[in-house]
Amino acid sequence: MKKRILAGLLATLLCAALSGCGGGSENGSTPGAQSSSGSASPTATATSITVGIAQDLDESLDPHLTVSAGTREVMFNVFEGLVKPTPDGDLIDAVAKSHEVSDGGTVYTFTLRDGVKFHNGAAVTADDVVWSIQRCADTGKGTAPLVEAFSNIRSVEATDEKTVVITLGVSDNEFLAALTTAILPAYSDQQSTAPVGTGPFKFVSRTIGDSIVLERFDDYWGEKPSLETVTFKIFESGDALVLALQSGAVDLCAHLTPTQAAQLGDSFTVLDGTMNLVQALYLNNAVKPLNDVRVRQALCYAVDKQQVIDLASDGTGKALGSSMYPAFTKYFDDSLTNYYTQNVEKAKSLLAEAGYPNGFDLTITVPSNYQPHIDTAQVLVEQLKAVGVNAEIELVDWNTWVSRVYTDREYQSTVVGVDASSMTARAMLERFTSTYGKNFINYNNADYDALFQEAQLVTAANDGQEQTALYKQMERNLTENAANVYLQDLGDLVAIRSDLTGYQFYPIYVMDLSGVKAG
Amino acid sequence: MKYAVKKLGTFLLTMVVVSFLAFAAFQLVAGDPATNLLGTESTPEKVAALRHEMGLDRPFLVQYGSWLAGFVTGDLGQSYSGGAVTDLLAARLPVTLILSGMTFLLTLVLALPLGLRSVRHGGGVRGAAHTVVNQFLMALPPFFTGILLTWLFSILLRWFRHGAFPGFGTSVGGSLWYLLFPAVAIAVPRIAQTIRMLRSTVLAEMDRDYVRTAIARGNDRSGVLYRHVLKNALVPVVTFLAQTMAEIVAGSIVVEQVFNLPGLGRLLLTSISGRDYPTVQAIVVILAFWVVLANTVADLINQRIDPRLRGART
Repeated sequence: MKKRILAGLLATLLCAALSGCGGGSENGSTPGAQSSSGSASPTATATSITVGIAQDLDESLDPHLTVSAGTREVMFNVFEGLVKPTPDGDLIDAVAKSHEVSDGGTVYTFTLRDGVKFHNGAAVTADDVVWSIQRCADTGKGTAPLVEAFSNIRSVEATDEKTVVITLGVSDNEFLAALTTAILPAYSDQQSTAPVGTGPFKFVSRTIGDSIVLERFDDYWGEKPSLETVTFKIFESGDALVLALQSGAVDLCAHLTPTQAAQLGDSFTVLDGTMNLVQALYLNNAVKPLNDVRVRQALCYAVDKQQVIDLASDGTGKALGSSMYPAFTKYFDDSLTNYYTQNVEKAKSLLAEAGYPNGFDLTITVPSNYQPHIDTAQVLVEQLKAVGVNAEIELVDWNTWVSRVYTDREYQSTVVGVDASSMTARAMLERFTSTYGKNFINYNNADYDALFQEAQLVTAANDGQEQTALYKQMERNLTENAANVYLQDLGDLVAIRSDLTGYQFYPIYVMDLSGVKAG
Repeated sequence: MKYAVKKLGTFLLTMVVVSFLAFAAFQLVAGDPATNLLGTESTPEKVAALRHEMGLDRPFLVQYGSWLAGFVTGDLGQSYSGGAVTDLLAARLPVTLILSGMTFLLTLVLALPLGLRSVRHGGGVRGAAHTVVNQFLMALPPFFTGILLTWLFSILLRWFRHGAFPGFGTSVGGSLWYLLFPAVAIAVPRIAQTIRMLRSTVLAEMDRDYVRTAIARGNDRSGVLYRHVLKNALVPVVTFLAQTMAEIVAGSIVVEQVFNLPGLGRLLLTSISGRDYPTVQAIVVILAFWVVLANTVADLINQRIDPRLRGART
């Protein structure tokens, strides 16, 4: 009995040892083959690439229900609206061939492009367009429409097979930007798991928590992409992502930190763009002592933006001075960028005037999953020390940040980036009007509110010059009243395998892979 | 038989207590799933409506009760990130199980022979050197070894492509090959610990009177070692290996991050940060099951090896 146990144990060990070795040598040939198709010889994998992304997409892939920026970024390749944005920040016709605005900016007439097909092979008809827009304008359940700007729509009609007429209640010269809303096949109900659009890539499959696969759409109306297959693979860990880039498993990745980018060798080109967001030390304008404009101005004078950019972002950011990012050239006012320059004496005297000659304690709440914001906060703490403000960083997870800071507004200050959900100035500036639901800094300025009201009423004449001027005044208002300590638009580093070209940055948060090609 | 029934009772009770504690822990964590799902779009009304829809506004014990009832009938509920929890787990479980299995096998295959070898070399300079190396390996955290292995085998030698785990559906051989590297990373400190454990118990056993007697009767040292000492030394080693089994799973959770493996560990971490309670709850229960199971199996094996244990427990 005893001997049998021992013999059995040894036999097991022997088998295991043998099979262990066998497995190793047998597979020894496989990795050799892998490395030959790795980054060293790109031709073999040129038409299918893997893109690293930091988090999974939303539960639903339905473009009308998408909430997260990360999902929109990926699905930009799958969906198109009547119009679509360009890298320059313009809107060009996509599903529509042309459009006309008449009757004082209240009637939009779209003529559909010939030969536009959905990924399921069906041709796009005016009915699909009407259905898609009505779906996003629907207020039937007593809720807000899926696309806020659509609440202004009075009617959507297909006047013939190729023409759609949208009539607005009041003129809105930013309405066109809302028509980037995806056009879907009428009555489609599988969009959340099997999305169908008209974009240059079609959806193939998704493995929750792991990857999403897209494939070139060969019936695309425009210039067909060069890439055949794009796999988006999820890497929650930044370290794992860098290793995967180095090993050649990932060919393209956006939103890298300078430290991550510096670890990549010659096999990658690092492109330097901007994230298109406004990073600032956002201040809760309703709590003491930040409710005093002099205190807020003192904080602005205490900060050296360039130093923040150099130390926290390795010099990759772009300085800004109000709630508008530089890539949005039409609305960006560069004269505000250096409205406040670091001046410790002035900061101290403003603080003394406001009744805080010895400074005060400030808590900076920072979401712990965004390293750039943490790094920035650390530099700010040091800079604020010089004027006697004793700042302390409080790290919270994203979930807590959303509920405590953004929703309940129970905080003093926070470092985050705020971006635009659509390509309009309104998306950046409306949030600080006093009655707006997401005015998380509690900004309350009657002039600002009045300017916003006025900007909504002016006509679209002269390419909206009048409106642009009003928006710029709003930006100035935010700067002069030191609503926040404005810092920078963060650098967006994109690593792309060096034999790939054609990646383009957009002024909104999207990743366009249709132009990427080998060589 | 009586012994097995008693074990099963303890087993079930432990599981209930663990699942209850895990459930209770979520009540204490800041942030709430509804707010998380709505993100920056959330308003108090929307959050309240969603909380009601998700059943989060019910009393704690009611929520636990309905979860337990579902669990017993095999329904782990719906993940907040989409899909049934059972589907999510079914996709992830094989990766973690096979990784753990490979690691355990590696530990057994390498630790037992090496441990016995180190016993035979005993003290002296070689023994001391052995101890130093062993101590060093014991202190190597798997995530660090994982990064080193990746650097060496993936980036320098290109034996495997880090981050390109093919999945068992695509290539079984390729997947096993990929898993070998994380398995080694987890196994290194476990092997070192097992060697030390084996060495110290065997050496202690070698000092016992019956060994002296056996050698005095003319048996050679290694004969005594394999025929008598090993069997007596095996009981604590088997218990230790059961603990190792649990620690391997813990190591797997960390190493899955490093190697970007679609396993339970990564799912656990993303679910925690996403406040996906149904998924976290299910994983915690599975991990607890694993640990309790390993210990129960160790007890049963020890009983076979050492009949005295059977007498002691009944």
